[in-house]
Amino acid sequence: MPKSAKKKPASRARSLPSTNTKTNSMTIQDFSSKSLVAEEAPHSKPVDVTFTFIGGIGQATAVLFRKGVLINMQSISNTGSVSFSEVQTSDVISVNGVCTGKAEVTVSEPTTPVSPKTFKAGLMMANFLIK
Amino acid sequence: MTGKFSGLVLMIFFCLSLTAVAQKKPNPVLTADSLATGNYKDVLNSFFQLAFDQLASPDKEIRFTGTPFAVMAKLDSTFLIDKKYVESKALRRLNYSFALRLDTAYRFNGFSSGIKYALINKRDETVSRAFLDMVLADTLAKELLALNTVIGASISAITPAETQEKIAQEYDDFATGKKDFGLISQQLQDTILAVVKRTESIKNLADILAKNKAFNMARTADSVYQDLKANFNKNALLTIGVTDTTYKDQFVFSNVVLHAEFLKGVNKYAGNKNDLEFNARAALQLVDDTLNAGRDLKRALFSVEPAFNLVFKTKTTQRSYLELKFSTAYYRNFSTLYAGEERDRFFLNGTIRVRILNDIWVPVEIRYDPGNGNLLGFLNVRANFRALAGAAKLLY
Repeated sequence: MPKSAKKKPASRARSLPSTNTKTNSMTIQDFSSKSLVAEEAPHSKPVDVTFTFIGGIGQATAVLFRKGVLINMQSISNTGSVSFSEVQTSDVISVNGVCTGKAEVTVSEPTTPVSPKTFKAGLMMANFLIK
Repeated sequence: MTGKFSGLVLMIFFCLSLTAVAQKKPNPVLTADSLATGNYKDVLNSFFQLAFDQLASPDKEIRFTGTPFAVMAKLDSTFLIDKKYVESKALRRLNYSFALRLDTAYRFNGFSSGIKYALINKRDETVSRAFLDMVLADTLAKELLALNTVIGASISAITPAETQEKIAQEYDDFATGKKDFGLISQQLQDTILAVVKRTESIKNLADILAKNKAFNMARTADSVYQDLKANFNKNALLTIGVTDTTYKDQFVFSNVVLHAEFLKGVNKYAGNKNDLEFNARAALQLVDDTLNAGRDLKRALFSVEPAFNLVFKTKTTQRSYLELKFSTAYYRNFSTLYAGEERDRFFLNGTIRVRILNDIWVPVEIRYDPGNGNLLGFLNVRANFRALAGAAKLLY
């Protein structure tokens, strides 16, 4: 068996540093930048993210994260929507991009922070937590 | 006379008031003009401009300049949506103007109009994909976007749900600039620091965050963008146009001017230093030859005026507050000369533009004729309107 065909042992995920403090505590699970396919679940729902670029152009990327794992990633370069078919509560849709006029981002489900969210000309950065 | 002068002062005051109202509710779409130089706005206007020219001379002029796009966007706000906005590039490149000419007693002394088209406009960043790529390729911009992504991943992994929601909201306050890094909870500070330290692509940010509690994410992102935009706005602009003036007693052209103007920043990536613009203008003026009976346009005068515009900016906001323009002007008369007239003339010109409010400029022009030793001065007022706020609001 050639050496290159050897099955690589699964790498151990690095543990995140603790963020416990005297006053607050929370648990951050390991996350990975590897893309995984979203699994259908009874509580999954489709979510649309609509981008509207006003008084200029723009381009943006929406990334769906679940428990630190990148589930789906879609980009857009004109006014329009991207759709994530299997979204669950506690997932995060991370929005990154740039617009030269004004941009409005609307997530079709309730989120924290609330949408629609307006961005002025410049970098677009937001993380929408699905409620 | 006093009453008429008061009327003029009232008009200027009205103009200032409009600007003040517009400033109360700034519209992010329309902030592009505020960073532009006064000279640039005189060459090509984005929305509307009201000008009071040669206030202290016998030939005064009140001129309104606009673009068809501004009118279309007022009537139909969907023109501001990106697809239509890009398609309307030609409309935005076109300027039209109407002016009333007044004599010393502020009586009607003719009407003038004109159109101008930007053949080359490489400084309109709002429709430039190259500019978007430039922003996304910037090192600090890339790090800020990467930080946002990895924090999004971290937030999705936080439990319990109450803490996750609290952190998501608090991160939004940080990302939108409502809170500096030092003002967010220790919990979120630790989360961010932990994430940036173990993400190779944003290690520079880790150092900045560790040392600077006053780090504001939105302000930093805005600073990166505005710097790149300011440099982009130094690109070339070439306009061509025609203006005409009628007689006061007859709607017949007394003066037609064909003109071309070029503008380009000289010192790109100058940082906080003062800007230098190169500006050249050429014109062919056709006027009535009074040696002939009747009214005609047979007298042709050609002029060319290369100039340098020195722009003084504030250190922090990068807004120009004072501009000094030095130019030489050469005039050539192609027609029959009048008695005592020279065929070629040469002038040294200087213009001082002072910004008195965000969109109000007062240019004072000084012209020196080395041949005759004459010194002439003109006082003007320019008000740029960015009042499309209402149109933009209709989209919501």
